[in-house]
Amino acid sequence: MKTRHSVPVRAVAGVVVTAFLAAALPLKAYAGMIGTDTVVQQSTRAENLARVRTLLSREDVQHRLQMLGVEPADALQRATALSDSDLAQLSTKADQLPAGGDGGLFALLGVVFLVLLVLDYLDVVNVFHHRR
Amino acid sequence: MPAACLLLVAAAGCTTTRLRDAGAAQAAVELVAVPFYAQTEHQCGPAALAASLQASGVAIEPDALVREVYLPALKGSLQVELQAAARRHGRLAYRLPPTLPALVHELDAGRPVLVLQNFGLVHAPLWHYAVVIGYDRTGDRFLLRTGTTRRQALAAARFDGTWRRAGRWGLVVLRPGEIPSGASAAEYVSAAQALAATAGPALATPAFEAAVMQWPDEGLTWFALGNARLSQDDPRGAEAAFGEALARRPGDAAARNNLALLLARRGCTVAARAQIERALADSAGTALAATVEESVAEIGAGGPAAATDCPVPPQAPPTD
Repeated sequence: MKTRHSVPVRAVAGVVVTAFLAAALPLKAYAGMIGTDTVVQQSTRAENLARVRTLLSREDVQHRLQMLGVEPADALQRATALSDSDLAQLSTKADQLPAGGDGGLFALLGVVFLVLLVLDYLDVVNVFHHRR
Repeated sequence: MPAACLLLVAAAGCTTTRLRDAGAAQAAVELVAVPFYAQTEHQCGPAALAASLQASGVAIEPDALVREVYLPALKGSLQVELQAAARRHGRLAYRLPPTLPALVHELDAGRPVLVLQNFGLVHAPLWHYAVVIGYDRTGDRFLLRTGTTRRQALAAARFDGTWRRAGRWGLVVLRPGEIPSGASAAEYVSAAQALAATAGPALATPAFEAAVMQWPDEGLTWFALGNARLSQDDPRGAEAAFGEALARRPGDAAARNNLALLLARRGCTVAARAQIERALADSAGTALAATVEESVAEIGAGGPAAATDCPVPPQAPPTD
């Protein structure tokens, strides 16, 4: 068994090992680190869900849902099963709902429209054909 | 459909105090320093983006942006491309919440807002980009740089009609470190992360540093700062940030995983093991579990001799 290499072979091996370590060190440094992207997606989802939850807990919205034969609790349960992007879109719609519950015609129309939209997203009714 | 249009017009007509309702703080705001570029052909996107970038201190002309954001086949620009182009020029693109108060607050803060308008109908849109540079609260009007008009005073109700039909899409172009009022921590961190991916971590790090000042109680901002410092080759700074994240969210398995790996790397094997075991328990049943298990294996494989300045792992309380 020959255990001694010639000088050129050792020199080359040394260069190769050094280069390998230099290349491997930064990678090793970050191996297993959990990135911000991963965590942000979860946080954004939680915020969007909270916004939809707030919407569904509004008295006027609940009233409309019940008139359409949908239990608000069921609607919320369906909302939690939405994909990230559908939930994000739905929560954007929730932001655009007139905030005041002053019973004006515009506000009422807004609520009816939004409730239909929510139900559409939750696959209870299919009014808008906005996907699939 | 015609009935719906009439209703909307009627509803808009009876409201004349939109700016007051939206919380406009001053009688009038006009950001006169925002430059004006008259759009050529359909190129409102490059013109509006150039004005926004200039206002945030980037010297750029619309012609230079045409190649980046204009799609000849569409005769227009896509919103995502405007955001991406802002990032390429080292600016953080933040999509405002789709509300008038969010728009007004930005103008109050001295920042113009790039908006998308729809001059057509919802189902037959005519898209247009413009820059809102101020408002006149008494006249209930917004001021815009738009198309070939340097200064357009548009009734707030009319503006909001065109804006609403475009999903109230509004963008602010920020120097890294500037934070819009009413921003959400998660969305700001997400925008800063997108900037880091495009323009490099060095440019985006001030945004992460600012986020922990703005939202000091949010674990997420500290976690993001930890990763940003790490990408800047500052492992001790990262370790401190992950520690702050955990002080706010002790159940944050991602921050604990990263902290454990950093401790292991500098030879604090005992402290690292204590942290990773807790992370393993906290991540059970979540999407992070597999990654944490890999870290357990890596740390368990041993490492260099113990360093001298390691954090002391929390002791179990005495049992007697």
